[in-house]
Amino acid sequence: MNVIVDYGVGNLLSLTNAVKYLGFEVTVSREPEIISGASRLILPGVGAFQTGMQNIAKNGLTNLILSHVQKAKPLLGICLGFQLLTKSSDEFGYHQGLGVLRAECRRLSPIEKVPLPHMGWNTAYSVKSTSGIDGLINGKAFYFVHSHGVKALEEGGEHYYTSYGSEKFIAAIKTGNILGVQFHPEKSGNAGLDLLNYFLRSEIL
Amino acid sequence: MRRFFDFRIIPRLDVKNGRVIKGIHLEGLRQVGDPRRLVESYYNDGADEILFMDPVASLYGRNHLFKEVAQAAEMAFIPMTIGGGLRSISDVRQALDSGADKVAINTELHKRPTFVQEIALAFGSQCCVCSIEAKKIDKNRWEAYTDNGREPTGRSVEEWIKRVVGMGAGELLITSIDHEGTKKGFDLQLYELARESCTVPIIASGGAGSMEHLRQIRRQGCVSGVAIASILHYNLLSIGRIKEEIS
Repeated sequence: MNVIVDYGVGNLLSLTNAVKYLGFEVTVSREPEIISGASRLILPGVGAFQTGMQNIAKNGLTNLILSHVQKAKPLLGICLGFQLLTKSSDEFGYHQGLGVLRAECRRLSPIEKVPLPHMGWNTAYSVKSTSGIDGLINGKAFYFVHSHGVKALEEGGEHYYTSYGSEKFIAAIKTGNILGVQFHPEKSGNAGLDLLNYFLRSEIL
Repeated sequence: MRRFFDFRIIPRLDVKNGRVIKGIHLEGLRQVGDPRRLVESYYNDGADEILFMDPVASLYGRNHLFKEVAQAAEMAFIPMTIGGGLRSISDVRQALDSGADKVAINTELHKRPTFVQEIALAFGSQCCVCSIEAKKIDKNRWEAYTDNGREPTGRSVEEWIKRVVGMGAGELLITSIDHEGTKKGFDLQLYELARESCTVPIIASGGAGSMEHLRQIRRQGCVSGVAIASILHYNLLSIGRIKEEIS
């Protein structure tokens, strides 16, 4: 069962539409039984890091998400959902994330005056050759809207980057069965749909 | 395959009674076509986002486009913005629940400037677009208008930009009333002033009549994209060709 976690941040309609358009069933929920029973979990979200973490905690979802990861079940984090999987963010103070990804969020502050938030289409690329989902991400354009960027704290896994002004940050990370993307696959036309399709077909152990 | 392009091309659909219309100088209206067909065609041709405006919403006191946006959101997986007659947090929630990613607000903000702050707090700045209608009143001054260029507000566009961005507007959609529907080109000076007044992304609207106009505004480097209507609806240019020619 595919489950989109509803923790009260962001609009889930487009994501639900995209999953259904691809021909998959999906449940939107915050119920513990549904989430723990999920074979694949999608953590969406837009907005502030602290609000996101508070809402996850408030709804008793923290351990459910960590347990899903511990069981190596497929997890997709999108935009804020991706950022919450990292260790921390400096948005409006220092906040701890779920710590599932060895990376951290930092406010974007490019040297030159590019408009912020980073809003629009941008291309993701890999810096060293990778296999895996390279064909789905490398050189493809996706839709971004965010003001904080994720920086990896260590190597390991597949890392894809995007540049905006002088800033380079993570566009996507794949580590084991975790896929984290800064962009919105449900808003990125065919490239986004292809990536969602890949995730929704990923094997369940 | 979507062509990567760092300058957004956004078709603007003004919808009345379920049909896309086009205004000349924001007054006279012509029917252009079925919103669904147009959205599908623009999406397939590489549109970066879609902008839906309800041009008569202020007259009727509400926005009628939720159904059109919901239908578009089922098959076009790109960002959608909806504007016209959005007056309250519950209007904004309804817009977002229909499938819009962003809301464009103008008239209500002039009555209640803190509305932008309320939207930003409730849903995030990224979904809050302040729509500004600018009419030139002096050499380097523009006045903000509402109701499709009919009602002056007495506010300078420069001051208004600073104020709304300060309160949380995540993006600005700036339309030149003087250039809108004329196909004589964008009001480039207006966008230079706007760029100097804030750091958020700006989308230009009003005046595009030829490829050269689009090249000019892109080259100028002040705006992140354009919302264009007649030039697309009347098949003068296609999005695919625009992206090829002005990159």
